[in-house]
Order: sequence, then C-alpha cells, then structure tokens
Amino acid sequence: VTRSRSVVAVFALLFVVVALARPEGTEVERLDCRSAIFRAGELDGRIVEIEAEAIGCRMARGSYSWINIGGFGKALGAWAPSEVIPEELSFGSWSRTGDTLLVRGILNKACAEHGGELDIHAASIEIAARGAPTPHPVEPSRLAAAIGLVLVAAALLPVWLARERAARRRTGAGGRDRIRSLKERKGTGVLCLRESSSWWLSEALRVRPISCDGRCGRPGP
Amino acid sequence: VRLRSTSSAYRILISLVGKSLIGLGLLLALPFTASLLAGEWPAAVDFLIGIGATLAAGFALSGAGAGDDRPSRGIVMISLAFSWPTAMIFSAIPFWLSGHCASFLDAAFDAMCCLTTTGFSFLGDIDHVSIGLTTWRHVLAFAGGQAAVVMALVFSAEWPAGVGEPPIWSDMEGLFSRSIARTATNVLCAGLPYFAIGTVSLSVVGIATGLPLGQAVLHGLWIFMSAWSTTGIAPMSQNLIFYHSGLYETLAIVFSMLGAFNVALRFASGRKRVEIGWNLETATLVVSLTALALIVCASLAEAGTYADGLSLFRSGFSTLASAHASTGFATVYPQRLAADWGSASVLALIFAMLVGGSSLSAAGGFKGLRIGLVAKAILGDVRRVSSSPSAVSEQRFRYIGERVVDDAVLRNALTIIVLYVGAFAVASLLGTVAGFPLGEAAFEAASAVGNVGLSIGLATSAMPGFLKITYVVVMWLGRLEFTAAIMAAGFVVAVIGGRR
Repeated sequence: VTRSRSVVAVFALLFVVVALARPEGTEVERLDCRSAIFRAGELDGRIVEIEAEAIGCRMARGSYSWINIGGFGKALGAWAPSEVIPEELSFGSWSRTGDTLLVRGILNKACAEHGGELDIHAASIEIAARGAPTPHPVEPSRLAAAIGLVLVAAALLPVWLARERAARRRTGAGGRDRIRSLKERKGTGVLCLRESSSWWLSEALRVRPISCDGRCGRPGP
Repeated sequence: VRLRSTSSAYRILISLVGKSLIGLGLLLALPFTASLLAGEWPAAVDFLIGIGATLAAGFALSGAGAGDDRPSRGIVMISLAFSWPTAMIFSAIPFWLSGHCASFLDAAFDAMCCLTTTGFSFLGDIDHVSIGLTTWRHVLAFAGGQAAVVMALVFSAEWPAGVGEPPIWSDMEGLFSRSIARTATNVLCAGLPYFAIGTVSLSVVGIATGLPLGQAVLHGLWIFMSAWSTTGIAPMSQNLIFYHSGLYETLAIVFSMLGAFNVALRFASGRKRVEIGWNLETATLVVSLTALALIVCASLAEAGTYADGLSLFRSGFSTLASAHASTGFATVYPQRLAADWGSASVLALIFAMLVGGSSLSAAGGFKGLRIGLVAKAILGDVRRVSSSPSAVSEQRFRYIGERVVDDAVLRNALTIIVLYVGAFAVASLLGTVAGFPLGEAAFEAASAVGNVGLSIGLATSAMPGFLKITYVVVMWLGRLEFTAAIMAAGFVVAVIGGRR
C-alpha cells in the first residue's frame, strides 16, 4: 500500500511539475480560499495560486506534509512535498497572524488520493508576507467591570446561603435536623423517596431510598 | 401535571433558574482556568466578567426564590425550559466579548447551538479564537449534551406513556435516580471510561497525523467532548477536514454514535443484559442508517462525485452517519454539499437529521424509538386488515424489557413526530421567506430542529435576524422535545391571563 501510494504521489508531483512548466504568458488564476472552495467544481484539476494565511500547524506525513491555509472564514489543506515548504513558517492562532503563503498547485474538488477531500496538491509554496504577533491588551474598563461583578457576586453569596439555610431549617430539609432524622432511620433500610435529593447523605449513612414509610410527613409530589 | 401560577410556583421557578445559573457560573471557571494557563489574559478577563455576571444573577434569583415549598415535577420541567434561554444569554457573554461575533444575537445563537448540541457556528475567524473560548464552546456543548440525557432520565419523557417504569428498572440502579444531582453524577461517571478512552485515542491519532503533543491532547479532548455530546463543533473552521485523516474522522464519528446511543441500554448491556440486537430502537436505527447509506452511496456513485470506495466512505457515509447521530461533524465543505451532492443524497440527509439517534441520549431528532413504534403500528394494522376479523392480536416490542404497543404509546410517539415535523415545516418556510431555495432552507431547518448542525451553507452570520431567532427557537424546542416548552408556554399564558 505504501509503495503504491508513493508511486501515485510521484506521478502526481510529476504531473504538477509538467503542468507548471507551461509556456510563458499562460495565466494562473490567483484566488483566496473562499473562492477556491466555492468554485472548486469549475477549477477542478486546474492549476491555481492561492494566497492565504498558514493556520494550525504543519502536519508531516512521511516525505510530505499538510499545511492548512485559510482566510475569509474558509480554509483548506495544501498537500506538498516537505522540501517545498519553507522551514521557518509561523502559523496563525489567537496570539499571532500566520505567514501569508502563495500556494501554487492543482486544485482537487474530490481528491482520490485523500479520501475525496477538497485539497490543493502544491508544487510550490512561498511566503508572501511574514506573520506577526497580534496584540491583545487588557482593557482597563473590562478589568474594572470584571472585578466589580465578581465583588457583587461575592456580596450576594452570603445572602443567598443564608436564605437557603433559613428555608431548609423551616422545612427541616437540611442541616442538622436532616442528619439527625436520617441517623434515626439508619439501618432500617427505608427512606422516603421524596427525600432522595440528599442522596449523598443517604449514601454516607447507607440508607437506601426504597419507598416512603410515611414517617417523613412530607406532602406528595 | 397541573400548572399553578401561584406566587409559590413563581418563587420555585425563579429559584431553580437561579440555581442553573449558579451551575453555569461554576462551569465558566473551566475556560477561565484554561485562559490563565494559556496566558490569554484578556480572554481570562472576559470569562471573569461572565463568571461575575452569571453568579451574581444566579445568587440573586435563587436567593429571591428560596422558600419552603418543594418543587413539583411540572415546575421543575418548566424551570428547565426557562433555564435554556437564560443560560444562553449568560453563556453568550464570553462569545460577545471575544470580538468574534458580529452582534450579541450571533453570540447568543452560538451559545444556544452549543447548549442544545446543535453545532452551527457564527463565530468569525474560528482559526484565531483563543484556547479559553474554544474550551468554553466545547465545555458548554458537553454540559448541554449531558444535561439533555439527565433531563430525559429524570423525567422519563422518553418512556412510552402508559407503560410505567421498565421491567428491569432495578437493573438501572446506579444510573437512574429521582434526584437530578445523583442522576447527573451517575451519567457523568458512566461516561468516564469513554471519556478517557476517547480523549487518549484521539490524542494518539492526532500525534500520528502530525499534530504537536500539546495540540493533539487539546484537540483530542475537545473533539471527544463534541462527539460525545453529539454537537459536532471543532476547534478549527474546517471541522474534521482540518486533520486530513480518515482514522481521526472515523474515531470522532464512532464516539458520536456512541454518544447518540441510548444511555440506559448502554448501561444495561454493560451488565450483560443482551437486548441490543432485539431492541426496537436499535433495530430501527440500523435499518434506517443502512437504507439511507444505500441511497446516499448509490446517488453519489451515479453522480460520479467520488472516484472510489474509500472517498465514498470518508465523505459520503461519514457525513450521513454524523447526520443520523445528530452530530454534524463536517467531512465535506457545506458549499460542496450543495453543489456536488444530488437531490436524493440531500433528501436522505434531511431524513437522517430528522430521525436523529436514540432516546435517552444526547442526540436530537424525533428518535429511532418513535419511528420504530409507528412502523410497527402500521405493520400491525396491515396484518389486522389481512387477517380474520375475529382475530385479536397484541403487538409487543422490546425496549429495555418487553412492552405492548397500545394507543397511549402510539399517540405519544405520533404527537412528538408531528410537532417535530411542524417545527421543521415552519423553519423551512421562513427560510424560503428569507430568499433561500426550498431544498437548502429545508436542509438547514432539519439540521436546526434535529439539533444536528450540519450546514449546506445558509447558516452564516449574514442570515437575516428573524431566521436566526427562528433557528434558536426550533433548536430549543427540539432539545426539549416540545413537552417542557409546551408546559412553559402554558405557564406564561396562565401568568398573562392572571389565572390562579
């Protein structure tokens, strides 16, 4: 399988080289990724030149590599011999824009070699422009808003906890009353299903919620 | 369940919605931590704003609603229906602050897509999104998927009406509980082995595809969360195409199909309960997937879209399987789907998206069980007509134990199917009103109502606002399987009407 793939790859490369060695003056259409994807039907099997940013990372597969290139919200993969890919390549991410590449090769609408992918088999890859770090300064107003909101939440937390505790105390649904009630029934193997929200307590006390024994005094659902 | 719009009902409702916001606020700590670890300080500040706002609102609402009353099942369901849109607004804050969304509506749309495990995305320039925001998208999707499973288990909405608890309910001990918290813990624990295997296997294959170690692990984790919750989002704009690996795609789709598989059945089969093969839902899904795969492959082969069997599998079958599991991982560009796939293939995808996966799973759609029940009832009627008038027959089916197909069961299944089809029709109609061709509008509508997220190219930020809102509503309805949403609507009507 590996040998047959290599043969296919060599022929594909030869085809690209022969196709690229066309007489001067033959124009190769320069596209962005969006146009390449939208017009793949029309451009299938033709030589194109795509100008786009390198994104993600270089994915080496033997003597070849995948480079993903993107722009205008669309991206596609360029399959190229590792030696035609520039060594010092930077890829776009949150913290930086990647190098802008000029990728020249054959566009395949449904590449038979790569499981029907839409890809470009590149014969040459050049760096058109170097990428650069993207500045992401922290905005003081946002920082102030964040601190303010966290303080508000922190101030509301004890109020919420107090109200929850008070509600549980009134219903006997929480805290010490609940633990005492459960301990009294420990070993009986019976616990009201309506109380099963405190499953962690019933687990801890090894009381299985089987059915209501009528002692809970709680209204039905 | 009787609705009582009394002050106590309001209080409980407010308290439960508040508690869901508190949970959401705590969940935001995960992307906040990821941002800190990645040194993405501005993103961390955005998450801090989200945490502060969500927790403050959660504490305020929960505190205001704290009372003596225990919530009834109906009120809990209504509060769940309200929790989804409320969570959408608060979870959209980091999306909006990131600057990757053109408007707050787009941010809310993206958040709803994650929460309902749909997987459309209006995020601009996904390839430059921070690690924190990518983590948030996937965590939100994972939480949304698990919440859907827990909701279905707790309320047993999926059990055919009238048959009560399944005969082997006792065998579900360790999974099911009437306590939401306990069921959620059980569901998460039951998924832990898959989580570990999925993340590790995707990471290893990621390394083999050429990703650096750190990226391979992060992508493995994100893609697993997306697959398990049947969301189908990915960290890069190319979705699964980014990896250029058939094995990676296959793994992601296998985990998404496992995520779309009935959690109770998975749990029971883990305890040597061999019912999967005879289970009505599993059988229906296998038949449906096989039939649709044949249609898609024949149609694509006829059109000559793909040159060989491997391409047909990677691009054709993978897309169909992903649609049927209501995941929506993309192995084909949406524009190529529209241009190169024939009408028969597109129709097969629409049907697959509407059917979806199993009940009691993270999958959307009207589920294999309901289709199986309707098919069985039709076959039963045909048999009855062709047999002697005096013959009395009882139709039975296996779905975690043996059950009888009676009118109540059938009415329940048909009602949900009709509601899904109605929502699909309305969303398709509004798509055509927005100026899109019927086929494409129907495809996108099926994807939205079935919580799939597979796109044919219409669902973009440039879409009209009213269509975005329509999709948000149908995604929400589809996720709640209409029941909770109808109860919530009834509650609102009762409140407006002042009924007591």
